[in-house]
Amino acid sequence: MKKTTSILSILLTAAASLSLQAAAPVPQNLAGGLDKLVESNLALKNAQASHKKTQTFASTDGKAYATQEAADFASTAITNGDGRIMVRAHLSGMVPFENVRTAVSQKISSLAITAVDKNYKGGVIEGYISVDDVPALAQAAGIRSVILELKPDLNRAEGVSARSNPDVVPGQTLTLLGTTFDQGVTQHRVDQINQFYNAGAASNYQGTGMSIGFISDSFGKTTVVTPATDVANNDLPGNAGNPAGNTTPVAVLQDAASGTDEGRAMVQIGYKMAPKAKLAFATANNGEVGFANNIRALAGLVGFTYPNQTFKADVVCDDVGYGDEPFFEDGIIGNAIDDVNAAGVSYFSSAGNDIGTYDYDSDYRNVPYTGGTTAADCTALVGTNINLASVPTNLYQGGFHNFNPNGLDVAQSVNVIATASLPQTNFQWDDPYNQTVTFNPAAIYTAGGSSDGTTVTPPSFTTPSLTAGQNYVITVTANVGSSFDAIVTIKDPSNNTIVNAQDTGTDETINLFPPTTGAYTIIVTIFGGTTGAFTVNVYNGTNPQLSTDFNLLVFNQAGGYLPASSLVTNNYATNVPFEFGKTARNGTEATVQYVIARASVPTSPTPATHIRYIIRGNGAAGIGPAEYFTYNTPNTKGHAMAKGCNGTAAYSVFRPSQPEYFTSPGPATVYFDKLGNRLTPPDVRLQPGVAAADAGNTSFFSGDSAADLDNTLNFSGTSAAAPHAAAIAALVIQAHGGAGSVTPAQMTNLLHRSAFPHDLDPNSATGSARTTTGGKVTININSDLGLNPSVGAKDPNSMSVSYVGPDSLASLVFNPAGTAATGGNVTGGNNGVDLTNTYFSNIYPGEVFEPLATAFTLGTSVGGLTAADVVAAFSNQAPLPSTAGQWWTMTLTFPNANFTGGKALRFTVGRGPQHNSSVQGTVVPGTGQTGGATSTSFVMADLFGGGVLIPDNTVITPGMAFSGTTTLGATFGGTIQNRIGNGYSVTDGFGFINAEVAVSAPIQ
Amino acid sequence: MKKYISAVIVSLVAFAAPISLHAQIYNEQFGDAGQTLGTSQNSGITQSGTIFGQISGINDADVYRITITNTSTISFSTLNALTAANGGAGGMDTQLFLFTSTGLPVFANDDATGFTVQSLLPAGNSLLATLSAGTYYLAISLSGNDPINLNSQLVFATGATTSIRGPASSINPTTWNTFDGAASFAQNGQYQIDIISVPEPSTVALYAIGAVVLLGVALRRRTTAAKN
Repeated sequence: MKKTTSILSILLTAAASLSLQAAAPVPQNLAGGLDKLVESNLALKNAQASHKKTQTFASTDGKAYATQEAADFASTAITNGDGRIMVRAHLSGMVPFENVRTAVSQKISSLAITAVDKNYKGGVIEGYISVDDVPALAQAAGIRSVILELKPDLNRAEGVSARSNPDVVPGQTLTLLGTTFDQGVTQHRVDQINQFYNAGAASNYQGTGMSIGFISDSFGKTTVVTPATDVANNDLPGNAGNPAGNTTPVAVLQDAASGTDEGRAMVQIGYKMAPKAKLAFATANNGEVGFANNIRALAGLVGFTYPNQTFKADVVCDDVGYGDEPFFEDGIIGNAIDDVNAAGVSYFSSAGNDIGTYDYDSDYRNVPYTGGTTAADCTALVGTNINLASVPTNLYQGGFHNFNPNGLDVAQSVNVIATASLPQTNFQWDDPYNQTVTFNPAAIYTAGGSSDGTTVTPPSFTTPSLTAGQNYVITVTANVGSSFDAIVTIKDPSNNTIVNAQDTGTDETINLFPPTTGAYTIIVTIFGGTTGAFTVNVYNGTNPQLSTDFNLLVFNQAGGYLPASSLVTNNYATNVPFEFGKTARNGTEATVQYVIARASVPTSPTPATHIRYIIRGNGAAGIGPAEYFTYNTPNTKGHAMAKGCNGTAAYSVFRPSQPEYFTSPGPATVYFDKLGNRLTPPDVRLQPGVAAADAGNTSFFSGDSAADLDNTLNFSGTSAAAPHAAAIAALVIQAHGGAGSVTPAQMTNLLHRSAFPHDLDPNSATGSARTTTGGKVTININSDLGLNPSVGAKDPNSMSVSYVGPDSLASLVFNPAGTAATGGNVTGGNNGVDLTNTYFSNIYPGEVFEPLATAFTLGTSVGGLTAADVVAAFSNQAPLPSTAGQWWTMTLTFPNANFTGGKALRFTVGRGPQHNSSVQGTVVPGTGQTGGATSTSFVMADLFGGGVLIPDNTVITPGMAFSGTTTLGATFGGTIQNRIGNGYSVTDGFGFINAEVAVSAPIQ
Repeated sequence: MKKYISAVIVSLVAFAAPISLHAQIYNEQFGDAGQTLGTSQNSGITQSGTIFGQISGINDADVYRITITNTSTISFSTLNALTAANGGAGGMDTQLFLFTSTGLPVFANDDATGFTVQSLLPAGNSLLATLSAGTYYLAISLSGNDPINLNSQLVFATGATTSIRGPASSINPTTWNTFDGAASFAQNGQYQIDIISVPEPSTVALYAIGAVVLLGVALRRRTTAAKN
């Protein structure tokens, strides 16, 4: 039932007030910012119709919008060039899929369906549509919700560090394929199993007979270096004179309308790792359903292939994520991976480039709302300056999340960027996505009514007694021939409103979990003067539903509410446990406060219990929680955590041999099966599963690293890691007998067993030493790179010393010898550049202390130690390239003799690698050790401990040395260490793949 | 005055003493007790007793099967002279771990207090007290030699050495498989684990009330004496 423009204009005032009380022209079942675009569209049309000037906000799509929020969401929308936007309509399951598809195709002229998925929940229709027609689509029979399809996120890292390693192994000549050398070849030891590169290799696996599919943005849309040039230069296969003998061009199943050709860079990696493999590309840019179907197309699944294409991949990989992919269950794309797995295809996806300190993850700890608006009269707000006076009560009356597990604090300070590159916050919880409505068709209550346009007769309906905690489905539907559009309110037996003026479409469907047993009142009112007969039915529901409507309320540092920055959609209407948007505006806030609240007390017997938000930074600085953060907070998500996916973390080809600082940590926790049934216990998936190289050379993508000797461009991010891992999988299949010889499950198991040993406690290092009188000194360092301004070296609790035993500590000296060899950072440096050494040698670059970068600062200590109890001094000036004030040695003395047993001192100080070995000018043999620059930013804990040199596989256990004394003269000494071994680590899964081991590993 | 103090001391001694009258002693047998559930040794100890064994080095951990009849009252400790005698000053730096009959982690401790590197799993901790009576596995290792699952994940949460640590979250599988063999200090020698059944909280309360009453009487008498 379409509404007229005049009706929309009349009701615009109500929409502008953001009230959810009255019927709105903006359907409530719009998600992902689509509601803001529709709202803006209506406002601008209304202003135009009334000839009123109105303020507008420009977006990156070149158009003007009525609000900044709308402009921001417009910048995230996928458009088709004629102004239409891509949306995803999820079906309720109450109308057959084909009936819905036919109806919306015929009735909504601007809708161009691009892809469908009949199997995901109630079915999905994806396509381009004019924003004018979004309400009609949202209100069409059988449509449950409509979601703005967000531009996909490419996992190319934007923040690239300068680290160094050689292009090739000194002393070993490798054949160059094309114009650039991908250092992943040596890092993964592919040069040891490939006789094209290395005639002396003991085996020869080049991907013969294998087919690898790649999915990213585009393949042939940039012109600086075209695909044809790549072929001509043998940076891609297809040239008749291809030196690897691969004359088969890349099959492009579907390219994007535009893009950076990141996909072509991925294909280059696959080609350099497996030069004889057949390669194909398909875009992920055309929405989640389009992406999912291209996965199936590359695998050659019947019904999804493209005309005139016969490609059937043995391995497929991608580097794309969609913003609203679920954190806690499998989604549309994950299902496609399961499909191709079942067809025998191994799958790899970039784990993501979101640092653990970008996000927050916790069980939900409810603090009830008992009235009031400030800490003075609201007990939930005690300890905060939050003022709820201007916040609609129905956004938080269900209670607040307590961020403090050991006290009370419902507000969390969060760093955001007060610049143009504002990140989006993606907030989700453990409720099922896109559940269909299913119920026992035998209604337990049926009644009729009618509207004359101004009055409903009867105005309300009383149900039979409903049982608390059970699921009921209440429908209010227009009878055949009727144009009535209902607004429905439901009150409990005590006359409390529990569903407030729902108006998602012409007919209303409400999933009700009665909070108390008794008769409920259904109040029906009229939208827009519509008339006609209607029917009210109450059924017993049979499907688990979304239980909780969370809102992310945003306040400034003074406690003032920021409505335009708050994420407050009605999740019962959108049917997705998902809030998304920018929580700060350019130039206005650098730090805000997040309050996570429930719109109402859930009536479901199984309300949501777990929450997580991710501020997607993609390696950028300046974002993340300023408090209540943890290092390694999990955030790998979406299809990268699919059961059959090999989520792929990244290691730079440059040193140190450690996971990239930005690679997304796991594990993934899946709370629901594919039907939305809660899993007990939840399925903890050890994703990312593997790690592979990034930052190697490509012919055109995307920026040169100062860490290598050439001027060719390096491709960083987990985007570059996934194709390295996929290509190794192809080599493994070849080595085991060709297509079909290794199932996806066997492949995952094999790769997990074929990794280099690695650090099992990332972002953490520990040193322990016994004193000569039986005490124990323990040093703990917990720190990542510190791009979140509150973590890393800026975290005053990032380093700690604790003591157990008699007497008291008198001194503690870090790196007392004052040498590089005793300074940790054992896999760093630029020794490969030093041509007087072999590649597999190691020169310990060591860590230096940099109090000028971050002064020695105490954190929250245990046992009452204060700043008066410790003196920090620095000595042993480090040599070039260090500058004055960068010291090998830090000495802590404890003058008051009160650092007794059971106490702990927490602190931070500037620190970093003595040289990071970015290449400085002309390389002169013998200068390797002093090349590069002393880093003031690489403050990660792991650099203090031991490590594993890649690709030579040398394990170095001890890191920085330390020693000290107690007051009565006891002494102690030890080294700081990482937990090195084989097994799962949250940042790099089972570790960096050793291809030489993988091709000979037995199948298990 | 003195006799009241003596009464208090008697009361407190009674509070701290094990109530088992039949101390069960188990000596590590047949060579080394294993470090997995499958290679553990059945100590035969029910609720209270003493285990004697030997740590041979950084890779060694010993696991013993025990029976717990009251999960609220049992404690485990290496607070004794034997480890000190074998581990040099301060003793061997032990850790204690308790697992369920299926290998699920219950709780763990490295250092009993801020002043000793011996270990204590105290009675009354909710991590055990909320579980049922039955078969459990008690493990001992040197500090740093930690129990892990099949994927090398630590099965106990990390924390301060003096903390009582519960199961790690978000690991798969959740069951313990073996030890990682990475002890912090190369020590070896004999150990003694005391398994003590302390009085029920209600009994403790009675002892405490008795002590307070006696103290009160003593103080009152002293006050009275002072007035006199």
